[in-house]
Amino acid sequence: MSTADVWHYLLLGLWTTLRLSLASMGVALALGTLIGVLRVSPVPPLRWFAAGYVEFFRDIPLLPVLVFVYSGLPKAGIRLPTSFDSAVAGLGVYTAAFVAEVVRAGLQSVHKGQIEAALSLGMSFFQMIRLVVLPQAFRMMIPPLGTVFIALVKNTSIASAIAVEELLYQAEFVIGRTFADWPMLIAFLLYLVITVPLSGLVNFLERRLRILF
Amino acid sequence: MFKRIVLLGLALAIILAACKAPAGVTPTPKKGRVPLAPEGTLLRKIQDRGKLICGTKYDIPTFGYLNPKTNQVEGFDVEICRAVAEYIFGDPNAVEIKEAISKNRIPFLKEGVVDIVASTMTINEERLKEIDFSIVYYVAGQSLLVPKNSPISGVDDLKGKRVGTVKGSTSEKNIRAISEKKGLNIEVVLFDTYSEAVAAMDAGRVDAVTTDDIILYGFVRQEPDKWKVVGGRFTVEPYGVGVKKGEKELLEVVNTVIKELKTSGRWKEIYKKWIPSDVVPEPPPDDWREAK
Amino acid sequence: MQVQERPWQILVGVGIVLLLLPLAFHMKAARFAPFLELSTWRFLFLGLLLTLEASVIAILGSIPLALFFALARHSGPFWLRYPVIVLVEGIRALPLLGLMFYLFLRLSALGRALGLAAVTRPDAAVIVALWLYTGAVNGEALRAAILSLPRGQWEAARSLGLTYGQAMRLVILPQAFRRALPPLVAQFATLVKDTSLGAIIGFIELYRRGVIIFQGERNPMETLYVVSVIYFFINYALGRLVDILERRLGFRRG
Repeated sequence: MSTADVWHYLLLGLWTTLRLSLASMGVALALGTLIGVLRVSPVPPLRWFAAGYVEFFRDIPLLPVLVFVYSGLPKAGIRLPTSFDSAVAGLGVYTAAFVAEVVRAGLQSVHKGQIEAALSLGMSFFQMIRLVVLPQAFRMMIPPLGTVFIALVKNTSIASAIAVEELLYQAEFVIGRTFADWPMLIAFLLYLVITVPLSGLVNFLERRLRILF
Repeated sequence: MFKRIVLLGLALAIILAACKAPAGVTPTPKKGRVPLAPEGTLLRKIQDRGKLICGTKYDIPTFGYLNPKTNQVEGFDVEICRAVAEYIFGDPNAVEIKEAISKNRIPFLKEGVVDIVASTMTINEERLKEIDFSIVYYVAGQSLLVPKNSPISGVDDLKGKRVGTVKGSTSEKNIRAISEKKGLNIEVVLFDTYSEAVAAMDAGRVDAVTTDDIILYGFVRQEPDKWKVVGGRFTVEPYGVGVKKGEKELLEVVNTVIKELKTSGRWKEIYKKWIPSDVVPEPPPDDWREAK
Repeated sequence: MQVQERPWQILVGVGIVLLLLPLAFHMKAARFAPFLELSTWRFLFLGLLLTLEASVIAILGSIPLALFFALARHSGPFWLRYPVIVLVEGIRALPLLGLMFYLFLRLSALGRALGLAAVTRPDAAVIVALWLYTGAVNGEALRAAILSLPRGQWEAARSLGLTYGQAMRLVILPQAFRRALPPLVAQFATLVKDTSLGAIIGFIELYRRGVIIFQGERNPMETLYVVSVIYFFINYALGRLVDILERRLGFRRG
């Protein structure tokens, strides 16, 4: 295998990593926002369920979740067509717990006066959340969500265990063919290329937000 | 106060690290049949250590399998390791088994994590550049494992299908080569172990699993109503024990052991014990190039 | 909306989740059968011991490393500070599994060069990777804690005639450690979870043993469920420890 081939496979892997990260984050944001809102709802059982969801997925490793979706769910008749889909589902459901915590903290940071005013105007709980609280909380949530996203990007490497052809999988494949380990260092470099700028962006946003508030 | 805790913790950690007992057995100092090897050789290191460290598979019921009921690793390859240990130390239990999956067994040898590798490893030119191999101790052939009711009966039926195998194996290279040669457009899906590939097939993720028939038979043995082996043997896979390049003394010991197993009839005993086949064949010839 | 759930309510929520999972995915009671046998639990329990052992070694080892990283980056000479910054940021930015795998390929050569027999342990790469990663993350947490202390502490200590080393040892670090303890323990919980990645490189710990079981018994959902519950209990306990620490150490904010 030539050096050009190695780069070819690794870059393919990088592309898959990016797609997987974005797709999973989409799922995590949608599901996580829902759970985060449930977490502060006035209905106790919903609150407890949301709290339980967050506590459960935060306390277990990601690997069993992915394998559960990939090899376990088909036994219940739920077979997501590809390993990529399974990884998106698993990563999404797992990361949603962390997104939910960020959303909860964001919602709870909005000034009580806003909520009282909204409720006194006759808004329902969900209207209040959607029109008043969420827009204000949103800005505050971006830096911590950025941190969650960076962790997600790193976690995509675990999808290599369920045959998703992302960066780490490709690195292992290439190492298996070339009997060398420098491809792993290139893979590291490629990961750094994504995560380091993202970290910098998150830090920058954090600082800007602190100035605004 | 805190420092004392940290120091205590460090001491604890060091003690824990030093006295851990691995999943093998503690060796007993008995007499082997090998004279003390010269200083600096791997064989000497093994002798000084008092036990052999052997890499095998952990998920192949016929050759290398960590049995959850007994917490012991068992199989054809494990028997080879034990035979070598017995030859060196006079005690077949003077061996520590580690898991050596396809993608890490050669690095393991090179790095000295294990002394020998008996892990259903096929001898080929490419690998011979990286490590040394013993004489052939088994000849398998690559084949296909499919669900019992699958319409697939051979390689040609794999057109456009998904086939699972393991990273870093000859099975992977072979199936890709066959796919290209015959224009079958096979989607090769890679896993870390064969049992993962079979679990994926159980979940409908792949249509077939390909590797050496002997490995596939292990899965048939585990669940005879679910799987079948089809397609005959479409390659020849002579197995050899892997040894780090240049360690002549150790290689000679391993070769002597294998030769003895073949001539003494023990090879056939081991075969009968582990391979679910009605016919017990003759042991294979020593030279991998003669295998057919 | 400003509610803080009591522990029992959260546990009820977890209970709801744990009940919904088997129901939603049609887990069969029959497939839980292997868990009625003692040998299954013994096999898993050995894995749990290995998981905990690797975790404890990595955690304890990471504390001096974190201290080193924090101090080097906070007040070290420039030729130490910049390499440490690069190292710490690099380690934190990489996926842990990648680190583990790379160390796994290179560690034995390094061990032989240094004469350490311990590196041939199957969990050597796991422990070293976790040690490095946790050291880096906790180093930053510690450094943040040091920076969060009021300058008055430093000035008072120095004005009493203490040297830099004495000021650090007797005044700054004890307070910084106390402040950093909650995030430190939280990172340890993450560490315990991350030991499961060792399964991919031959460390036959708790999770991998679960996989071995379900590959034989063909009950992936039920087995992974049981294994996840075990992890949950360990990390839930650690999480409660974090809460107690936060409360007792006075969650002071400037």
